[in-house]
Amino acid sequence: MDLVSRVTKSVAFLLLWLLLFSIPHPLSASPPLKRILILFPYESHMPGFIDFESGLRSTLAASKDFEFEFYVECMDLTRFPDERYQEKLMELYREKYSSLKIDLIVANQLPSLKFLAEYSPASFHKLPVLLYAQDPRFTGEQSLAPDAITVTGKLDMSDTLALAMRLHPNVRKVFVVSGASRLDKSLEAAAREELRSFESRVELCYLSGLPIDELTRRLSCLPEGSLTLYLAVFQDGNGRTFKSPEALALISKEANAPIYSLSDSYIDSGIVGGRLISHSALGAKAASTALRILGGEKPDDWSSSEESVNQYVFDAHQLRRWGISEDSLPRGSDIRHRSDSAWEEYRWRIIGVLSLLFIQALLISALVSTLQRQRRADRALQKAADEWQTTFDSINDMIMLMDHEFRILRVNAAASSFTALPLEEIRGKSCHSILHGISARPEDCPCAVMSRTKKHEEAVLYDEKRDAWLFVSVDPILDDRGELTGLVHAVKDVTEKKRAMEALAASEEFNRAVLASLKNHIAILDKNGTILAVNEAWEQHAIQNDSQGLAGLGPGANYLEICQAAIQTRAHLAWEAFNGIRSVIDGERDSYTLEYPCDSPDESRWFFMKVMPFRNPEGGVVISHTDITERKNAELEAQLRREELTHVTRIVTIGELAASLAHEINQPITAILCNAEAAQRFLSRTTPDLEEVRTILADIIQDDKRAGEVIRRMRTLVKKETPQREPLNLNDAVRETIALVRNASFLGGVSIVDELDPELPVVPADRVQLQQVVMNLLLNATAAMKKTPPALRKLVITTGMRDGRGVMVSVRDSGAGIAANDAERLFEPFYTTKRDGLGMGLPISRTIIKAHGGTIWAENHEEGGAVFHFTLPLDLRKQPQGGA
Amino acid sequence: MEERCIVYVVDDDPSVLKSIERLLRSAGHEVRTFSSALEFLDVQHPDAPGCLILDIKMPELGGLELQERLAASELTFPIIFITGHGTVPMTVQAMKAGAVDFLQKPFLNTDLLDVVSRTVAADQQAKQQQRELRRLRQRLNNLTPRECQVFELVVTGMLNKQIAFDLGTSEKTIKVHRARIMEKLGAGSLADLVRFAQKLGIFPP
Repeated sequence: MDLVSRVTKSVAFLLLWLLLFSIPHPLSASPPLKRILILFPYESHMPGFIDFESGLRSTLAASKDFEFEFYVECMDLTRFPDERYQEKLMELYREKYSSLKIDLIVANQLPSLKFLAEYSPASFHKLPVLLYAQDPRFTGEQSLAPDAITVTGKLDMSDTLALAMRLHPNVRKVFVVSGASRLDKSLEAAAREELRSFESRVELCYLSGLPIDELTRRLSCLPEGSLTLYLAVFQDGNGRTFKSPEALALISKEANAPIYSLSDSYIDSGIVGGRLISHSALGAKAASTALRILGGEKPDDWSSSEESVNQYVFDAHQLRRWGISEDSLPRGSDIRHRSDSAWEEYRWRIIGVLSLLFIQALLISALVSTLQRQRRADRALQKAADEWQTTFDSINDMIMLMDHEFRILRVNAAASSFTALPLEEIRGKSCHSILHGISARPEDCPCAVMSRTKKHEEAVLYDEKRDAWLFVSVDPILDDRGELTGLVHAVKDVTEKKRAMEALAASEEFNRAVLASLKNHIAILDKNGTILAVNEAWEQHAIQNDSQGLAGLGPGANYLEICQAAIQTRAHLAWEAFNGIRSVIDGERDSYTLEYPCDSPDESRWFFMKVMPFRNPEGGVVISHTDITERKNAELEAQLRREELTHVTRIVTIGELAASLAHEINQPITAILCNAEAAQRFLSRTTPDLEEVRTILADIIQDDKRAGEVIRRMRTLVKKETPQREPLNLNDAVRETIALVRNASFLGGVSIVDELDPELPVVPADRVQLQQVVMNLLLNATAAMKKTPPALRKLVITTGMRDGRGVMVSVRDSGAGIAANDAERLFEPFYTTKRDGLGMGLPISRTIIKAHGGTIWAENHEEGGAVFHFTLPLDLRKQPQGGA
Repeated sequence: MEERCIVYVVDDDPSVLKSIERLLRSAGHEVRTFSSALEFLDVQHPDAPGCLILDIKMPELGGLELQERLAASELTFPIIFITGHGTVPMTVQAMKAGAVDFLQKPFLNTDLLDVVSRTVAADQQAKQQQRELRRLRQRLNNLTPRECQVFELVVTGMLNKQIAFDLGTSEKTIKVHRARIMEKLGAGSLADLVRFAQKLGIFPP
């Protein structure tokens, strides 16, 4: 606020000054001049008096009837109460004003009046006197100046205290402060009189005539629920005199309770406020009375004005200090020092000052920014230098800047750690002494070469001292004429890199050797199918087999296109291979394999192709071809063996059937022989019965056919034939098999019941092999019933559809069923439950059924005994290629 | 003596059955065929001489079983077995049980016809002897106990006087008995009496 007020003042002066020079003074007729003498009993610059005087003067100055001259005498009677002083003073005034015509004396308060009454010169006696006082109680005796006209305000103690108690409802004690001077004491007396009515509501303590320190101390530690009513302290108990507001200022700083007072001259000295007397209003009131006196009105003509000069005034700072809400104050209160009050009062001045400040600030900021730019540039320079140094130091390689004589000028931090020497010891030395600890330059040092070529040189050197490989580079720094002025010498430890590269080279060599040693033909394709690389086996194969040699199948050729071209000649396989490779390239599957025949002119060969993704960002695949001719041959051999074994077991089975077959053949042969003999005899009779003979011959043919059929069936079973698929009626095959075994001795009288589905469709199958399976099952079933009582032996063979997709044949016996242990192993080779069994029947049956795309299994029937089922698919396409 | 003879054939194979029937018929035999053993048993057979040709292996009731059943009954047939594949134990069993022969198919027709002829003839003879014995036994039953005593002693070749002595009677009485025995048994001579005694199994002690 100090700054603002100072600024405000200076702006005010500035504006005033401008005003004086810019506006011409108005010319007018001068009104009569009146001289007014103001007598003030106290020292000058008393705040109350200053306010009074300015109120008086401004009011009078506004009058158009008179012009005024003011003479003010501050008599300082309180401090100098000596009568001789008063006499001499009056003498002085008499002398001083003898040449002047004074029109009115305005005397303040009692002391002035007394002074006038006792010491005034005769020349003063006739003058009108206007006597003013803060309060009627201090006007003194009217007899002293019977003609004086009195103007008073009022020290409104009760209103102020009532207000204070309203603002502080919890107040129990009110401390009434007054000093030791006469005026102080009279104020105290007035207060004791006026405030008596409050004694019932609150405890009143009068602190009167205390030394200022004591008073300050007492007021700084008042009990809770206290407040202070400050009357006046013009003199303390020690006789020290004060301007009363000064004393108040001292006290209020330390006070711990709010202070109220009676006059607005205290408003800046630490009081909360009160119903305060306004001295400037009092001055204005006095001025209007003075004008009436000077205008010639008689005092008797008007009664003393009762216009109030009191106002509710508060100090906003103190309101805040004591936590008093402005809302609780009486309406129309004047609140001083409110933050916005300065703005309201000095708005334009503030704007003006702020504008100036703004312009000033602009100038300053312009200056500052210039300065900052300068600093920024400096900083950037410094930063660049720092950055360079940091970069220089952060390089892990040793870097040396050297002069033309190869002395080290500057090195980076890495150099220090590299050489294990402090930086200071490195500077000025030569690089070879630092690095290698030798006095002469090594011959292979690129520095030596550079000094001749004056160009960038580099070399990889082995440093025995460190057992390390060093990459050493030298770059010359040349002047305008191309003379060497210095050089940059960098040393990098490349041991690890070199070893890694060696390892990599070894690894690559290893991989190459592995690839080369593989018999598989391996090629890497990119995602378009172009061959990127091949191994030696692939090369060899390409040279031997492709008409174009390596050019047609080597790197650069497109393998997919080769496949496409091959679709023309070997459509099925090439198309599959093409799609397979494509699908792996496109990531649709993880790998693709294909076995395919690829005959060379001299031999039949088989290859196995495997395609795997090439795991790199560009994609592609690795294709490997393996010659699997041997394996394929072995497989074919195995298949042949299997077929032979099947055949052998069939023969074994037929061996078991031999007796039965003999019987089957003997029957028709016996019949034929008998018939023939009979026919002979009939013919040799005297009257041959030709009709009889004809019938006999027909029977003979029939029986011969029958014998032939038996032989044919047996021969097909015995004959070794490549399995063939032809539409087969399983019912027929089953019936034939039953016929073959019906009379076999091993059946032991078992009756075979067939329940064959007449609607059974034909299935593609090999007749002989399936009959072998059925026969096996019949033999097993019979064997299973060996321990069953003959009457209970029963064998049921059933055919029927299964799920609409295939046919099923079931052979059920009435034996003991299958033991749990055997169920899994029944179909294993050489596993048998029969004492003289070979253990090959069921395994071969399974091989046959699997080769037909069917399944065979065994289970126990719910009514006892075991059932063996096998199924065959209707659809040839679901059957695997190749036979058992 | 042309007595009626019947050859029975039992075989489950119709074609074989028919051909054997023809063969036998062509050789002049009267033949009756049966396709199973049970069928054979169902029929009441006349007490005529003949033979039974039987297939060993047949469903339901086999040849050997039929043989056993017939042995248990009053019916006596000489049995000729025919079989597709005979085994030794099977043959032994059949022969022990009184089979006439055991033929393996395919057999020679002459073999079959020979065996059949022989068997039928033998059976004819046997049947005749049986009938004669039955007749003798009936006559023997007509003898009084005293006559039976005398008969047993006469066939030992003892003289009437010796018999009378042994029996404590007179020679004359024995003579009368002897004449009555001859008459009752239908014997013309002492030789006849001895033959009868042999047939009837009466031998001097």
